[in-house]
Amino acid sequence: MLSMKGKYGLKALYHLAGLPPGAMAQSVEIAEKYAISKKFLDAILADLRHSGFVHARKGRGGGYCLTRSPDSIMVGHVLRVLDGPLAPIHCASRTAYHRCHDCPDENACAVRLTMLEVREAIASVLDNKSLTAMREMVEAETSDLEQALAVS
Amino acid sequence: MTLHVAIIGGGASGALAAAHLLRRRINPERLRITIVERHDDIGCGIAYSTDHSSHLLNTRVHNMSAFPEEPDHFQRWLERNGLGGGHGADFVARKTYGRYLAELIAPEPDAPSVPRLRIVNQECTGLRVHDHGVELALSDGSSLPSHFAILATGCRDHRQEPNLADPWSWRKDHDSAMPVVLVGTGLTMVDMTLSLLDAGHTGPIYALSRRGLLPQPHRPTKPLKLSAADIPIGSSFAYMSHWLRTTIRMHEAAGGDWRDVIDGLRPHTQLLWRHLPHESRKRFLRHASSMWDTHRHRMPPSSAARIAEARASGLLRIVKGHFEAAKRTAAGTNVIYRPSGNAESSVLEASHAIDCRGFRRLSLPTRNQLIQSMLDDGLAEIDALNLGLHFDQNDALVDGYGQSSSRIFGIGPITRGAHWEITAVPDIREQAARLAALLLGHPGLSASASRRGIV
Repeated sequence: MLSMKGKYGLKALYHLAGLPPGAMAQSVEIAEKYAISKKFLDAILADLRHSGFVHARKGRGGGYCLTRSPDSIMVGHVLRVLDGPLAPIHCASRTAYHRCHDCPDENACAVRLTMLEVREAIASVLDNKSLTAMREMVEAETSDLEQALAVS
Repeated sequence: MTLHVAIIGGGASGALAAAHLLRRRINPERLRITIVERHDDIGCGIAYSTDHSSHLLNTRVHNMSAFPEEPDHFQRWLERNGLGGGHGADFVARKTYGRYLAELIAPEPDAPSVPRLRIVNQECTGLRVHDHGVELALSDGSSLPSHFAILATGCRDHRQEPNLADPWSWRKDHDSAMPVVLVGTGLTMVDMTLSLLDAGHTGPIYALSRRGLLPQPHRPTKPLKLSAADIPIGSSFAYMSHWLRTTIRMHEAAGGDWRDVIDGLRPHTQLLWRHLPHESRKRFLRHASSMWDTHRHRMPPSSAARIAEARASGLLRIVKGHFEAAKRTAAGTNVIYRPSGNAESSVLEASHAIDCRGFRRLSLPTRNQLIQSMLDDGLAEIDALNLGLHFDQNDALVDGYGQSSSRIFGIGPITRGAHWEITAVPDIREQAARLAALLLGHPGLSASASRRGIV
């Protein structure tokens, strides 16, 4: 499941990916635009800074920007850092593993085995979706809508 | 139409490329392979041409099959040839593996009159691409037309440090009481030390490297079944190494061994490298690659025991320092180095000094004539970190204008810039399988080919 943290983190990066080269955005600006609590957003941006996705500069003219081109940052990269291993269920992860308390034998658990497959599918979608691709999806949707409105 | 593939370089990478093409072809009559290799021992290359029985494979037998879909292929070959040695012999001699690779591509008894695989004892000096294929210029002045060319040259430029001896062509005809310096403390140093010990060397052996880190010994492992979904790919080097240390600490606290984590990460190292940002790749090479290598590329327990014994007796001495230069003297070779934490250089006097540093970065101009001519013609470019040539995700060569070639591909260490970990058979065989499927244009053919028992 996508946590609030993951969702807001992606929105913030989506915003930064739309900035002109060299420009920076302040967290208050992102928080207002997407209706996120600024305190929460600052914590998320700190995580994204520690994992090497955003740069932060203090002071006047400061703010946040991406450390590299948005087409090399994948949604899957970001969610692993903010939400932990991509796993639809805890027992399907090796590193953030928790056993289900009602499970007698996890190796024979049909749900777990199914979710292990789901996990691979999730990774293959998210690891091929870049921030640039996210912006293009939104642009395609908006221009479709505009065309529909223009026709009617 | 008969598909003609030219493979440049007949070492382990070239042999694996040929073996996978032969195994995956649909119509045997419609495939011709030419391996261009100056030396006679096809399949051996630098890795497996050593005839020394102390030079063991640094990977267990069960991980060394040439075909990933048939993991016991090498094991069965050993048994058929009476070389199995039962369960105790996890690590066999490297020359044995060279024989195995050579046999994979040897002509079959019922070979057609025109052999499917031909070996040309020449050096390839240049390539020319045209609309329908690629033409290889050979050292005797002739040319070889083909549809595709696969670069399997490795990327060694052995004349880089002319005063250091080459470990694989060095002749042991010296006074065995004289000191020897080995530059580098990795697996090649282990091999050279074992050779010296076998030859009854009694003088001191100095092994020099910046941090003096030796390969870790192998232990039985239960690799952690990590999925790509578990690993924080795309994050920075600092974040990634913190994650790795934490994962190892947690695994060890639960009673496991660090090797389980490293081996669990292994199937994903190429993915990891591909997603690692450029700055982080640089930081990794600068700060962590020797640490990674000593944990990832381990030595067999029997070698580790002999190395430990040689160190305990004072015969083998590890020197921490930065190699600066080697100078020939009347008595042998002097190695000039700067001891770690010291501003002043020191000298090690030896009868021989051997270059055991393994893969180096490409420095231009390179003495490798083919690579240099491709760079000059704009057919190729060096990758961003000077590890080899620039190849794309499908192992197609990228030219000086950033365009992927549809005719020239690469396999093995020459593609290090794209994959980083591409020097061991378990990695190269996967690459060979991908490449064969791509060139033959039929992915998914591998399963049916192995059922029919081809090769």
